[in-house]
Amino acid sequence: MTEASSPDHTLLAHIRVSANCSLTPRGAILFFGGVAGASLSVAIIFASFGMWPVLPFAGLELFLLGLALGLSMRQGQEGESIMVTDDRVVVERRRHRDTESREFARLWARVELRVARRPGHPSDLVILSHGQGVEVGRALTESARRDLYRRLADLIGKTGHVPDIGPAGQAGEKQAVNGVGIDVQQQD
Amino acid sequence: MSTAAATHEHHDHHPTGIMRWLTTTNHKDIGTLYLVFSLTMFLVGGSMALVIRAELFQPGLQLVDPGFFNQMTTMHALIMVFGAIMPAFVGLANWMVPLMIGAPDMALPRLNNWSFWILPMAFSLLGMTLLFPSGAPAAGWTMYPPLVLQTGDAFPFLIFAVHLMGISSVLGAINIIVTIMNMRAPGMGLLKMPLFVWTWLITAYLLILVMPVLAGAVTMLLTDKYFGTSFFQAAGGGDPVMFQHIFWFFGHPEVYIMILPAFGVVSQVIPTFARKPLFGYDSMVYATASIAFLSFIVWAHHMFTVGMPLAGQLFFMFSTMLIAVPTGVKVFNWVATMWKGSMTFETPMLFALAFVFLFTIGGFSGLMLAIAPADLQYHDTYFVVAHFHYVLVPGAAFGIMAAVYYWLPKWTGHMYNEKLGKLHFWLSAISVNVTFFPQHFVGLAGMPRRIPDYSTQFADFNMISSVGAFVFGFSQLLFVYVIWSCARGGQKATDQVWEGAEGLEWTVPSPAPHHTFDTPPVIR
Repeated sequence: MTEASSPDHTLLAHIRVSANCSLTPRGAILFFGGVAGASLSVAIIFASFGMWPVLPFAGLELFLLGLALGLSMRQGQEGESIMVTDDRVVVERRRHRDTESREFARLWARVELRVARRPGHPSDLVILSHGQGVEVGRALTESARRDLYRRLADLIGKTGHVPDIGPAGQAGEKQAVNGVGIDVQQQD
Repeated sequence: MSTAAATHEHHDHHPTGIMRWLTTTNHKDIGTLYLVFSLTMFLVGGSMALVIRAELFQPGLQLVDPGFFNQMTTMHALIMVFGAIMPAFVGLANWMVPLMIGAPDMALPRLNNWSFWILPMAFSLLGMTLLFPSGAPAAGWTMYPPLVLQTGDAFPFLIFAVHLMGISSVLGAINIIVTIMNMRAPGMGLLKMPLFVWTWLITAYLLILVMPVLAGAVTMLLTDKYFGTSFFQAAGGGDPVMFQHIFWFFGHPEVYIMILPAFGVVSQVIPTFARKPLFGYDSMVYATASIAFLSFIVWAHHMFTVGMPLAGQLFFMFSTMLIAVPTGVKVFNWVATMWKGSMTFETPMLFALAFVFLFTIGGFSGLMLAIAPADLQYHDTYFVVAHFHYVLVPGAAFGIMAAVYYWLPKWTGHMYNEKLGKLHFWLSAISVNVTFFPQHFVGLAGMPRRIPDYSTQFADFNMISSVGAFVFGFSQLLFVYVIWSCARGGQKATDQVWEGAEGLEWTVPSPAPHHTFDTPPVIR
């Protein structure tokens, strides 16, 4: 996640959230191709000797590996940009090649952390206004998601709480004292 | 701009009590579960070994009947291989791989939870067969037909338990491989990864390649017994020897699955206590990859006696001997790392040194077994038992013990009791040799493996071996006590813990917080 605060009076903070991926899509294809080639070669050789039950297990396993790799890679292609100005909150969500943008009035917008009912599942972090909401922070760990919640609560306010709408400089100072997972640096 | 949090899946938020452990998706919790489970299985499988050694203390049948003896040998092997050694390394990977590569967690945390919880189910299925009137599986862990097809009610339980163990291993391997490939911190290229991570990457690759083969093999056994197929039944046109080929195509890489992560551990521990960087890092990586590759083309050295063409014998003999080259590179590099180092001998280092020395003995006896004409004499004798126990006990198990002592302060936040740790080491190192070294002699003299009774000429060495086994077995209770007391309290550990320790895992506090590297570090 990256964030920058503007010294000017319009942009209070710009938070970018995305997963860290060390594998490029091409690298992932090469890696999966290598594993699949080796695994299928082994299975096909055994099948050619009449031991065909090895083949479906190899296929199933490669399907699972592909799925796991795909899910992990997809996280890297997703990202969010949350721009908070003195009167607007603009959320841009990138999912694969699509970008979706939502805009809220800052004074009306609220952030909510909806704790999951089932254990082991993550909370939902939602920015909402007038009954319309957008989920953010899907790529984050639970602890980082809670940090982002506190951060956004400071910036735009949580339910039942009015945010500080003072000058941008003050908001910038607040950003600097946020906890783990959000680093702040002034924009040039 | 600066960089901060990222993960590839979602996380838990601290339920308490039993629900914390049932539902956790945190890599550290799951690592702890794996390690506790494997320690439990180590004690269960070890108790079975003591039943075997008690019976073999003297010639003649004293304590158990031959059928139960065979059940003990089979269950001991299955439990130690699939329940103790493999889960211990998966536990170490769960705890340490994300910390070492700067990732906030494993790539697929919920899958990680399932991978672990399949294991207790698998071993419950297998363990309950001991209560059956027809007893537990007794045909050996290799499950050779036609003998294994004579197993009673325990047979389907054995097959499904092996399937579940395989599923657990594969899911764990997929998670580890995706984590290492896709979640390394910025700047951590493949050739900057710690050796433990490298060895696990290659191990996971091996697991993915061989587990379908095992799954297919045991499924064919099942259909041969219950659905009238004849994959391995000679009466129906099948070939029982084919099962041996398939099994050992899985089984030999499996040996490396159990030893490569131990190589990784030793490659972390020795530089720390020699206070020198690892000698020949790149060659270590290439040697590991070479060993992994060679492990696929040597399987038939386990079955020289079934009869095979001379060309086949020569191929498998020479390819097996070839493994000594990359293994020699590794041993040379470990020794070279220690050369002129400022060495100290804390417990992890002692276990690592014993690993280098004793694993090499196991490697040498392996070279003897690789010689096809000599193997005709050694095959199925106690020499083989001595060989693979040297590889797996002072090899894999000592590697795990070195890892536990090395990282225990990072896990618990406390230093363990060094005096007790060293006592545990010396008791283990001496008794393991007392147990297994005499088995070389009885094996060379012709004592067959898997027998509850033996000729009186083997009595003295067997008695010594049994005494060693009991000392080794009971000294592991000391290991349990050291871990337990360290978890409960003790001298506060620093973040770095060991003076010469280097790597990302030593940059986080001790004990490592529940969540680490929400902000990925940048490696330069």
